[in-house]
Amino acid sequence: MRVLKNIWSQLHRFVFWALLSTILWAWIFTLLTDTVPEKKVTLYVQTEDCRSVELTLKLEEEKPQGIKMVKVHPFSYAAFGNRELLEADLYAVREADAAEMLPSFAPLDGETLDSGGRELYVRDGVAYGVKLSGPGEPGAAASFMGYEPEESYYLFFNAESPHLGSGDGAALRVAEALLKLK
Amino acid sequence: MDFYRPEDLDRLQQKEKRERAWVWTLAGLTLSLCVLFCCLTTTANANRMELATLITSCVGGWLVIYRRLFGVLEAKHEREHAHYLLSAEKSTVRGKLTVTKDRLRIRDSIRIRILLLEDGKKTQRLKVNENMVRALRPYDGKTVTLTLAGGYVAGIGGDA
Repeated sequence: MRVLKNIWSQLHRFVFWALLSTILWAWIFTLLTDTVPEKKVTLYVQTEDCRSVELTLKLEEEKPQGIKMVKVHPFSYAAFGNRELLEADLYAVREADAAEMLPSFAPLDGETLDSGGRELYVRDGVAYGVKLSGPGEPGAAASFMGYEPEESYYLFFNAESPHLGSGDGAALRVAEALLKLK
Repeated sequence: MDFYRPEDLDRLQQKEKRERAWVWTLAGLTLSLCVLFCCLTTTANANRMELATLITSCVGGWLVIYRRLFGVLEAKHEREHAHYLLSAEKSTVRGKLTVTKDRLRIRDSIRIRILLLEDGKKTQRLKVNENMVRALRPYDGKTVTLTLAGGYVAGIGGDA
């Protein structure tokens, strides 16, 4: 009883610590377990039911040389800051939302991507993305991605990614691995 | 009977040291566990490890805060309070003692009980450390002589 009374009298300190420690350790945890953008390939997925851990493990099985980790996050992961979202390498985006993000995406011309014969996302004669899934189609990595059945999804590349053809091409290799998954 | 003796200061200082050691041990343990969880993180367990780290830091921090506030600071304030009463000028008052249920805290830690002392002309409100109330209980409702130091009751020498 006395302990509860003591806690109640200083409740503001305990609540403050809960908030501070959560923010602080979330940041430290990322700092200690993450790596530099040059050694990781990050994929952001515009679905809410993505099984990101399982997909990450699958993609890491075929990790390109020089890459320490593959990261997969839903777009909601960037709710508190979009820096990591803007620094990602790959984006799985709904077709309906792709047009407004197009300036951030890299054209695929000149990139050595094996799309496996999948449909491309073309604007003004330039290909930007590869189709992942569409209504009535068995999508790429469908068992992991949680696509909405009535929507079409495309895979795009960040124009600023260090892992395109002019770099080490790792984003292209991870994309190929993703396209091959069932 | 004096409530405070010079040797109490040593005892309170030892208690303060013990409490400080507890706080540092808890803080070190919490930090070590959090770092260990970070080091054991793999792709497969990253979410669980992050959760474990956050829970450990939060709960560990709460324990540290609790022991710091109600261990270290309480012991420190008790020692300083005892030192203040031992070095303060003493006086005596006599009257009928009533131990009330009114409580207050000084310096956010030392629990104080309010006493009433009636001497036939007036009723005085006196303060005493809650830890000393047990020694005053047998004299509740009786006429006693109390020793005062620095505005607090520091001893009793009464006719039961």
